[in-house]
Amino acid sequence: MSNINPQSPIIDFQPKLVNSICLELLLNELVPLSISTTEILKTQANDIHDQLVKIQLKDSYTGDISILDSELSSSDDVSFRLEQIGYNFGLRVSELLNYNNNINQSDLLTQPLELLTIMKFICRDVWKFNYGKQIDNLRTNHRGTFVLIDNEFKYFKYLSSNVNKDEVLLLQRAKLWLYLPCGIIKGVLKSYDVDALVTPELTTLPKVSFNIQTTI
Amino acid sequence: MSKSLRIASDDIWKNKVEKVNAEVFTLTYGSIVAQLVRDFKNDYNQVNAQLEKMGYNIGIRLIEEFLAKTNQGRCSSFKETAEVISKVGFKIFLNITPQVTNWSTDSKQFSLIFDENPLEEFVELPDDEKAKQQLWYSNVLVGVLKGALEMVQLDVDAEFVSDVLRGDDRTELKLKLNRVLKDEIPTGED
Repeated sequence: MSNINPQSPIIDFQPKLVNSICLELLLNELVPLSISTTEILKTQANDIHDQLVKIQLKDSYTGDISILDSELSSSDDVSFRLEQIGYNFGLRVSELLNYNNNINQSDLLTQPLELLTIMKFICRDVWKFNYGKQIDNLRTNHRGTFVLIDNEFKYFKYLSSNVNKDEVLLLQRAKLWLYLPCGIIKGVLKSYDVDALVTPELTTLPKVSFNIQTTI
Repeated sequence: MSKSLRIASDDIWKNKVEKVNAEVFTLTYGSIVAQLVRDFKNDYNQVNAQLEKMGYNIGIRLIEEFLAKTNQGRCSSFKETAEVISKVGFKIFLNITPQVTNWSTDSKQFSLIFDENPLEEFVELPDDEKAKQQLWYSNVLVGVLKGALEMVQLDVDAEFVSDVLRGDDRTELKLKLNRVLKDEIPTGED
């Protein structure tokens, strides 16, 4: 690593800003995007007749919420795709945050890494960066399993649904939006070379929890 | 007129919108594009299409926010529309004001030149020639513009014609007005 004089370069660092609605709408589109990508890839693998039928279907999905009715919406392909997007994001965010506030994070950089320290980094810095608040509760069994609880997951605020009455279906759908943060957690952990299995849990909106099982 | 637009939209940006750090937005978008490239195994035409479709879905919702925040009435000409897109639309959403230029003689086509683009911060295209020739990294904007304008009865074609990420001198997005859609009255109402 080169020697960087912390006094010299970026003194008046003003973060650039964008309207938060842009991010909200972008995040909202992730699930439909993943479903439609999965669908397109599936049809390409199938024969031409199938393809024709499905292309017609696909067009009617534009801007429409009916894409969520797709049988693929609960498939592993879709959740994996969403998780991958989060994972990529997590790897980079970790780098960016460590670069931006390397003063606050000096313990992360210099001391031997404790898993708990990394988890705290996720709960505080990563969550704050993404959702403007910290995780409400962090639990652990001290043997590699952690549970992160957010009592009011920010991006549920902007979702509405036509299946409000069907509680089971509602939760099943809302859960799709949690694979992204799952991936983010995975990505951040991976940036410290920790492999983990992260699963979302959702029982009552808007409270969410993430179960993290690390291999350490 | 354009000066007052600028002052009004500055005020909206400063006082009326909730803002987030652009880095979250940039990184999220970057991760999406990267994943699409992987999903479609570097078939960049399909990536462009998916980005545009996603943009369209965003655009048809974004216009509501635009109308709610700006009280913008109907534009009297496509020239005015262009000014509003640049000085109000891009300003209050991405805090940038792309230049409006390259008007065609019939005033139905113009270009937006992006001197800055929050989507493309820290971005480098994959190191293969194919990406540089085919991928329009910010293609979501094409969809957003089409979707949003369609909701205010303007049927437009939009496409990127150059992008600094590809090594071009500037990033240019061309917009062409096809027709003004008629207000359709739902059946059973007068």
